[in-house]
Amino acid sequence: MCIIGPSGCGKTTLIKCIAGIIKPDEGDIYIGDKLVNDLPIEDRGIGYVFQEIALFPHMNVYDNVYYGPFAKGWKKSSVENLVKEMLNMMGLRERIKDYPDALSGGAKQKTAVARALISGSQLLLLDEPLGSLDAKVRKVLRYELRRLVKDLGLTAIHVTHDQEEAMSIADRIVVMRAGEIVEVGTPLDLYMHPKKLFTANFVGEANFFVGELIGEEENSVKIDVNGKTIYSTCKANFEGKKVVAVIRPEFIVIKRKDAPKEAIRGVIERKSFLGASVRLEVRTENDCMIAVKKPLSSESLKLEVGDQVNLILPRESLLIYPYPEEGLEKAISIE
Amino acid sequence: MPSIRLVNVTKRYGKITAIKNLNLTINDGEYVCVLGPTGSGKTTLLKLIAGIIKPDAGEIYIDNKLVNNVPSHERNVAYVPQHYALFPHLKVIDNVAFGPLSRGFDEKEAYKISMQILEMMRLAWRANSFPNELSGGMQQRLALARGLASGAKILLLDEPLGALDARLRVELRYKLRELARENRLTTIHVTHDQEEAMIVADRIIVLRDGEIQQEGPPLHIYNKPKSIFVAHFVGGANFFEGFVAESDEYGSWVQLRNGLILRVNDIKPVGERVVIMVREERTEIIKGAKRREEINLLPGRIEGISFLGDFISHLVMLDNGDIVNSKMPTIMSMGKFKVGERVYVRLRPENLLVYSYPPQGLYKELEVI
Repeated sequence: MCIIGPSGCGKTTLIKCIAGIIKPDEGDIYIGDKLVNDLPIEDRGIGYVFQEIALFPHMNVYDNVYYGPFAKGWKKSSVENLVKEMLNMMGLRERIKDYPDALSGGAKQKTAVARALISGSQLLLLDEPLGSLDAKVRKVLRYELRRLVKDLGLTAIHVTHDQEEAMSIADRIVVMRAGEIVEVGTPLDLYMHPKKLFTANFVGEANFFVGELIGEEENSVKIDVNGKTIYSTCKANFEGKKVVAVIRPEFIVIKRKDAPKEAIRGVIERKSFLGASVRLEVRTENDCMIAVKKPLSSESLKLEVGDQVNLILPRESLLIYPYPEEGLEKAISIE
Repeated sequence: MPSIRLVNVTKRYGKITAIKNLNLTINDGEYVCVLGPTGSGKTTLLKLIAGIIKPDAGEIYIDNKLVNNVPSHERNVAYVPQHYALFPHLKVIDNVAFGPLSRGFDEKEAYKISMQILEMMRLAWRANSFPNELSGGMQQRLALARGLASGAKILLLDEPLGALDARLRVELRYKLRELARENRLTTIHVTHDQEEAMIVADRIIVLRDGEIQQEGPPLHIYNKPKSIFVAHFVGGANFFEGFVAESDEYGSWVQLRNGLILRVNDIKPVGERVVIMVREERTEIIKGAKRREEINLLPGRIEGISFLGDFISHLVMLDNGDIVNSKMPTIMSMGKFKVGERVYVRLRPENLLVYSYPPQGLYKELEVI
């Protein structure tokens, strides 16, 4: 399970409470079915890995991992094989004699994970475990981390500020803000059907339009946005006419010509290249700036700044929310 | 006009050569990203241009003027280091206004500019706070604001978005680019994040072990990486080891492990050991065995599916033991495949790049970790 949220939302405090590094002022924490409020960290059966990699600098990889069981007085013969197996599994077989100084950031953090798990903990708590690593290394390690957790049948709680990391690694994600849980869901749920506007903005990119409900048609509701009508198949099961319509940039269809009547005309103002896709910002006839993402292809590469285009907002992909009391900007603010 | 030129520049720290005989020209108004793994010499390069350290050999020119012996504060550069230092006893606004004031702007003007920059950095609401009351991300934005307010026409940024939350980073990188454009700044931006580099840069310079591996516009670097290292470092890539079994005037046939064959458009000498690279999103997974006669259709089994938002990543174990990471747009592949399903991976010859097998082995070449 990943916990995400902006800086200062309480995600690290939460994981520290679970670890037993700090105590809750109120409420109960159970691990398994056992109340652990008064149980010290070392008796909670957890492995804990921090962002700041803390290895013993004077010990090699093997000894760093071996230290825990050794300190607990485990039999040397039984531990040796376990340590080797663990290090093999982490892809550190060739590095066991190396000292932390000689290791890359990724290898250090893998050693830290091995050390956290060697005592047989079934619960792994990860506080920004990949935070201090290069972007590329992070991408490789997150898959390794998930595989390890699944192979060993562990429960893992992983705090991260990187939404993409959370999406690709987690079974479920907890979105936090200002000490509260905004919502919990699978990566797919949070992305496709976020319950809250905040989630829509925080997890992946989204376009937001403030509009007004002006009626229904077939299976859709009609929304007026600055004089242009857009459609959504969502049910408007709430009071009030003022709404926020939300659509992900990659769900928007671009047509140069033969566009249906409901398409929104606009001019491409910006174009940037994201690797696997191209991102455009289109200034529309109803004075909205709409972000559109298209997979990189010979077609999408031909779209240039200044080009006239028609945007189709597929109604199945357009979500609607009641206009928030505190205003849209505040509702989605990540600060 | 502020252009920057490095000629045969070398910098050593003891036995380690951090920058090796490097040549580089940065044009007036250009936004250049220096991309590379930790320890590749990115920060050293920036410090050399800033004048914080001196090269052991070679010349550095700013505006066609040799600056090797010109101190940092006379170089018309604003250097924002990764570990910035703010004035702890000055309020946010005063930290920013310090530059304009010391350049002799009248007070009203200096504070007006500073406030505009704070607004852009979304810090205006904290103008009267002290630095230690700000979060790490805010402090970094403040350091950036101060660099911008200094009025220098050359902006040297070391991981300027590094300490920010991922979501905020994404927002600010667009702003950063706009800002540099509007103020006609020449910018060098060091980062290890390839996506960031692609978005902000006019030109990317990929650095490794103190040497330039490749330079060019983002699209070019992404589509035509010159080496396995660049292909791997810039974007998601799959690699296959093989040897050239046959060649003709249009291309070659490469035999992969355990007998799978791929057609490529490069003409390579028969018998050569090669590595084939394909971008994750230039692969296609298809069902159905009907089209088995088609070339470059590799049978395998889906081992994992992970949802990335606008893309879904599929991990396919090919029957020969090779692994393919296939990224497909969510709208096209949502719910289409299941873990455990037998599939074919289609690799079109025009999407395959071929490299000679690296002398020190493929694994070593991919080891950016």
